[in-house]
Amino acid sequence: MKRLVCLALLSAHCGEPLAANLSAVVHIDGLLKDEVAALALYVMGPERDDEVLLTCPTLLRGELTPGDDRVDLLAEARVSFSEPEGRSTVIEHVAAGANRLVYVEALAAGELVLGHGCTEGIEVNEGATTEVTVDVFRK
Amino acid sequence: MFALAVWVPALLAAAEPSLDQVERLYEKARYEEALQRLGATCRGAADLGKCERMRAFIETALGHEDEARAAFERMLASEPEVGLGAVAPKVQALFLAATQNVQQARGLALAPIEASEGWVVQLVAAPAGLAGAVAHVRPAGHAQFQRVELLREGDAFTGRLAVGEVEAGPARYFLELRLVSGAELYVGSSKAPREVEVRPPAPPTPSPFALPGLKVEETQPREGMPAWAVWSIAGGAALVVAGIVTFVALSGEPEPGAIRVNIRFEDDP
Repeated sequence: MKRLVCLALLSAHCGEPLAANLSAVVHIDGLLKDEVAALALYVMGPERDDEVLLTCPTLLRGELTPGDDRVDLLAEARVSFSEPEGRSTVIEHVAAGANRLVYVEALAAGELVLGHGCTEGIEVNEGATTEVTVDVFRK
Repeated sequence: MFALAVWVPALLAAAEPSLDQVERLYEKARYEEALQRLGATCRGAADLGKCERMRAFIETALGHEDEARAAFERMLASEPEVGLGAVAPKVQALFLAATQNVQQARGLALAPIEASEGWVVQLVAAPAGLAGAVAHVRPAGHAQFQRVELLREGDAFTGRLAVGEVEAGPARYFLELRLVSGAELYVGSSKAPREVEVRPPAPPTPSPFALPGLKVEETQPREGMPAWAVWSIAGGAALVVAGIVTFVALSGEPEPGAIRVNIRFEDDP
């Protein structure tokens, strides 16, 4: 009966309050940041060679990787991760322009990609440093 | 016959990736598993709208707002009239944003076409979320729609169409649009096409020197060039050279910038 009620509530789009439990999601295999050994950071332009706009969802879904020929890869960096220094990385020599994307892969010691994150709509100005925050979540 | 009517829906339901199972996982807050069960795409799902709606709710729960909005857009492309009812403000905001994007796409219309042998077919002020567009155009007096792929040129999507002989009057068209989210939708159809004005070519702009009453006579130049003409040409040439030098000096590679990336993990307190 309870299940039927829940299903009925969900069908009426009342199941959403469960979203409030997001912070309660527990990864039994440990905290992501404790497993990360290195970060791979990529800066990309918004225009793909095939005329389609590059977006974060495309990268996060794995439909496209930064190494894909269609991607306009502007800069990349790879840094060892340690707390707290590894939290902040400056990627230099990025061609100025609007709508840049930053895609980050969090790597384990064995090169396994543990998690990733992406931020888009970044404007890079000539000779200036733009600050962005990328939320990295388990892949 | 009755047995068939009972069996076919049952078989279809069995073939579906089980949305019921996805719902149960969602109810238990097992969002990653629910997303995995849903698969990478809802394409081919019997109930595409429901599949995308589930995906949107799960992605929202996971904090993936872009993906949630994209799923809502695909849902709205499939079921334009669907609503959400009472939901949390965050979900409502994402749904509204998706609704606006889809409505903006549905409101697109071809710009008036200037009649010539090759028509320029254009969607002006196309939204950034538009990833691709194809126009199907039927000039007046033609029996068939002709397919024109439109490519982004700045803010517009433009294509060219060789039409040959046409009758006077508006052209009929419908659009196939693809959004960055993957949503695919039609504006008009072959059965219910839209109309676009086809304008006669603009007359050539009259020369500002062709004033009424003013008659310009061509005369043979005299032998040799007067001094003022020589100096004018020399001065003009010097200005052009100076302009080119300045342009070359200023149009070097723009100075690059830098990005400071701060990392925040999902399990940060």
